[in-house]
Amino acid sequence: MRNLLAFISRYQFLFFYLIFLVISFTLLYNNNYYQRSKVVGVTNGITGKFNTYYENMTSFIDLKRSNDELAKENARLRALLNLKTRIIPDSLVRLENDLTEKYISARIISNSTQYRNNFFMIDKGYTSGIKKDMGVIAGNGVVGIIIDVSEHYSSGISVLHKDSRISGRIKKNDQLVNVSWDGVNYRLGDISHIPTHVSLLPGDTILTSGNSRIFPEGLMIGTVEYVDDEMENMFKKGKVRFTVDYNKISYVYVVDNPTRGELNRLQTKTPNE
Amino acid sequence: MNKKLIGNIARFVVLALAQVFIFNKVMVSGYVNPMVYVLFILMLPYDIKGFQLLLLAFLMGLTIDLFMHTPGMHALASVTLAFLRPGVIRLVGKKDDVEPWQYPNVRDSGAAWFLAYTVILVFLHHLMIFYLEVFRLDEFLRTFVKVLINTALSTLIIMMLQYLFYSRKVE
Repeated sequence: MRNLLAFISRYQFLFFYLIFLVISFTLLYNNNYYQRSKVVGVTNGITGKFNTYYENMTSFIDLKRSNDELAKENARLRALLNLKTRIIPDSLVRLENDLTEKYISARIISNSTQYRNNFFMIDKGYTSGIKKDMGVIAGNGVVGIIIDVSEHYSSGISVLHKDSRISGRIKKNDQLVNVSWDGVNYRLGDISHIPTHVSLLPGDTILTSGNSRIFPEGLMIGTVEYVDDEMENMFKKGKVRFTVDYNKISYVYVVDNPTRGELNRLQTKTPNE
Repeated sequence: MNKKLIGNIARFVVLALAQVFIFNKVMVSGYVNPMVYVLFILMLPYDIKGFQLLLLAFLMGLTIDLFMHTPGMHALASVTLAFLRPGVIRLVGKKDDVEPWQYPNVRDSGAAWFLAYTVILVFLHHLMIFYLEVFRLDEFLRTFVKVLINTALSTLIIMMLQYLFYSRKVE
């Protein structure tokens, strides 16, 4: 025992380093986006406050552009309303039946585009009905998925993340593709899993497939920038230009799809792949 | 002595806030992402106890992690930086008679000494950060370019801050 203590005190610097190293690794390992600890949920409240102060100080800089964006969004929603025969008192509810998606509007208070893995934070939390795994969209495209919720704030992983994978659909021929991000240019995403027989040309539109029930179906992801004809395992690859400029988003909607839980339970029952 | 302690606390707060609200907002391209908060660890006193050095580095890393949604990543790199610090000080050439609370800076240590000390530690820190961030090897070369660019940039900013605040003799 005395020898052990003597050993520890001789190498105490190394010993303490190893302890901190293990703590850091545990944090790193347990906090990937699938299984995050409660600790981070609590700290969201603190960092959220700081980010709100910062956002409040700087948000007036792009007020004009935000206004334009919201006006456009209003026009689009008004046009949608006119299409419906029945007048719905709340425009955020898309259809009569309450099994359809609801949208919770929120403001981005922190956001990044320059890292390999980017995150954002919004100013609504579980008191506004936001839950983990909900999709986040902007007026003109997908933004990300919620991973942590505290009382008044939530954080999410952006489309610009190494683990982000969106199921997309080519508008003109309904073929399914995968959209991900390679970490270079925040305006360009990767399209993979394009079957070789499927025609895809620059300028074609990629929409969300809605298969995951995270994002609503038929939401714009972007337009094809170019297609690489070099094959990889019988699939082609390409680049898509995102419609959303992730560096500029300020107002978003969180998608609440009541059927998603049910769908997930069904999927876990059915053996997959 | 208390004045020196307050100086260190102030450096912690100012550098953490500057990192989160200034340097993390630098947007040139996907490659640029200077990490200047390590200056806090670089400027801790020479005679600091090993445990205190590691603990403070860990706390600094964790603070940055909370804002960047990367729990553990900056903490791990910062603690490693702190662990390597005494070795690098010996490598670059230790000052013989250090007074209590004396710390590395451009004025006392000399520009060449401080530059070598900073470049080595910042490079090792950035090497860990960027490879942990990607966590796979298929972007090996691109990540290495990122490490080099940001090491140069962080070092440049740190040296500029040094000359701004520590070039004149105070007291």
